[in-house]
Amino acid sequence: MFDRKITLLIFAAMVLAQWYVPGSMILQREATIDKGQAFKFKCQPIDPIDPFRGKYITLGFDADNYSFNSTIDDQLWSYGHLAYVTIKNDESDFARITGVSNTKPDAGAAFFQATIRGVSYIETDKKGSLTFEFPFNRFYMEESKAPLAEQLYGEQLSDSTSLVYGLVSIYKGNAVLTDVIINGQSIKEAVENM
Amino acid sequence: MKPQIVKELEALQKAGVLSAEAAEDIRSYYQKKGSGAPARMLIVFSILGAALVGLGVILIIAHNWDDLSRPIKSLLALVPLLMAQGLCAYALWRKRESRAWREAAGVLLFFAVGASISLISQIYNIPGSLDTFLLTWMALCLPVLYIMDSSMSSLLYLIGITTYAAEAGYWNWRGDDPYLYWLLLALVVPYYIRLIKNQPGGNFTSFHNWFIPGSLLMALGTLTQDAPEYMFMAYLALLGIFYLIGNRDFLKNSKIRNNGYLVQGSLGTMGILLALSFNWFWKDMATGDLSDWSTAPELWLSIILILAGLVLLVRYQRFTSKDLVPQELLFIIFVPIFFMGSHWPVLSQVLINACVFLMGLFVIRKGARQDHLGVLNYGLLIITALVICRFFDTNMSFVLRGMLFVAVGVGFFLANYFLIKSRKAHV
Repeated sequence: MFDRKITLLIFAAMVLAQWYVPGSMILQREATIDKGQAFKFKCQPIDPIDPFRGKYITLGFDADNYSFNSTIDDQLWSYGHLAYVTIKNDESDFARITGVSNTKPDAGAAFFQATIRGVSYIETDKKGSLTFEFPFNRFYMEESKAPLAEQLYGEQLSDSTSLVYGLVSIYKGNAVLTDVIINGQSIKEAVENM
Repeated sequence: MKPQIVKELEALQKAGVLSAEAAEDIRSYYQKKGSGAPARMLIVFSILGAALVGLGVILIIAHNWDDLSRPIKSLLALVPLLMAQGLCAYALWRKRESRAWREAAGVLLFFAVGASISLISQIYNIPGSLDTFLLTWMALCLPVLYIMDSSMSSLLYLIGITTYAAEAGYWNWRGDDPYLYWLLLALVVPYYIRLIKNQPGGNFTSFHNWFIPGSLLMALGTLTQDAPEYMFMAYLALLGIFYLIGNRDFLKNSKIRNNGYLVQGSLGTMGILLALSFNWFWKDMATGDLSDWSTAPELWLSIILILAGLVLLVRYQRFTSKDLVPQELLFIIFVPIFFMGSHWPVLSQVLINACVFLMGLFVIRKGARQDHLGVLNYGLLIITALVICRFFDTNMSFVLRGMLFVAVGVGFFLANYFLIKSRKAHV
């Protein structure tokens, strides 16, 4: 279609672009895992199937909402929009949302972008809260282990003494879910020990 | 595989029906004609093989081997990409003349790019959204069709961008406007034009003639904002444009099954008109106010498409042509009917029904004149569909409805009978 020199140039540019996308995904996540601050998010897994990516468990988080002390601007915070959430550890050492913003917080803070999944407020004073979907609500497992993981979690749910949380590294606005811990043990090991 | 006539040649020669020279001419003609078949089969199987290998590798890696460390898994996820790029380089510089090599390597690279992004997402537990994934994947694969000159990659690309538009515009809860679809579609047009010029009757060209209008039809609806009623005009205009293109010489003489523009243009128009032949739409038109024209982008879109259709009608000299098909003008006729609907809904509904009925008759006449049973029966089907639609929403008595069905049934029988009879008379 093109002469050899142009073909070579376009081919090289294409190869670079095709390496850049997955490559930058890897580097960004590795940097987040290496340099980021680790937070524990209390969670609840289930087991759907994604035809593109094998099997994973979907996590739901306890601390996925933020209550405003002031009036909510429902035009600014509407369903499906992205917002910056700032995270800090509470007294029991679990992650909590401590601030919601429309602009990027300071680089020193632990923050990431989350999707607004619910806006609730009182009509009279418009005070209320936001519920979020976090960008790390999937944990991929070896396909034979995902159903076992679901079974294990079901058992743990009925036990009020057990503790399940997702371990998330946060760095410069990126968040990477590195593990799911059930009673102090990685879910992968817990499934193997079943 | 030899055609039946070639197998019979010897017998015909022995019987003295055919001279030796004539038999040899026929034999060499079919030999020449059939020489492209093995190459075609090789291309088909190369593409199938590449697609299967690509999908197989993705499935194996998607198993998400827990025993492997994260960096090893990341590297493994990139191996198919490296291999596919290597094969593309080999095909480009060593097997440039082999279409099978270029197509297979192109398809393999196409899947490898999607697989690598998808697998990295899996390794780092990135949920992501399907529309952003498809957008990135397609943008990275656009050069593949041009560099590898791979028509199958082009078809995969069209499927990909259409799914992206539908996912972002219809299926996604955010209901985003997938404007980038139009840019991605524009970028494949030069390849398509080149394909039409170089292989006007080729299989891949025929597939493109189906996929391009199909993709446009799927994506047009994503432009709907707050005034969806105007989109009926936009859709009819787009389908009218398809119909006009389908009647151009470069497509007109091909088989109907290869003429995606004509089939989609005609079926789509009839489908929309049949839907509008019910009273629900016109009732809504009469009770609700039409959205303000100055703030409805759908109306401006319709105007642009109608003008484009008019330009084609003039350019193709259809107004002065003796073989002007009334269906080519439907998108223009619909405009006054549409606007009348907000004041006289019953009149609009009656006119739409009349249009469908007349179109059915025109198609039947065309089928009879062209001695084409398929076209004739398509016309009869249009009228049958209209009768079935009216079966559900009119207060006609069962006897009258029954008689209508009998009349259409008899019409089917008689029309086919006379056409076949006239064919026999000409033999």
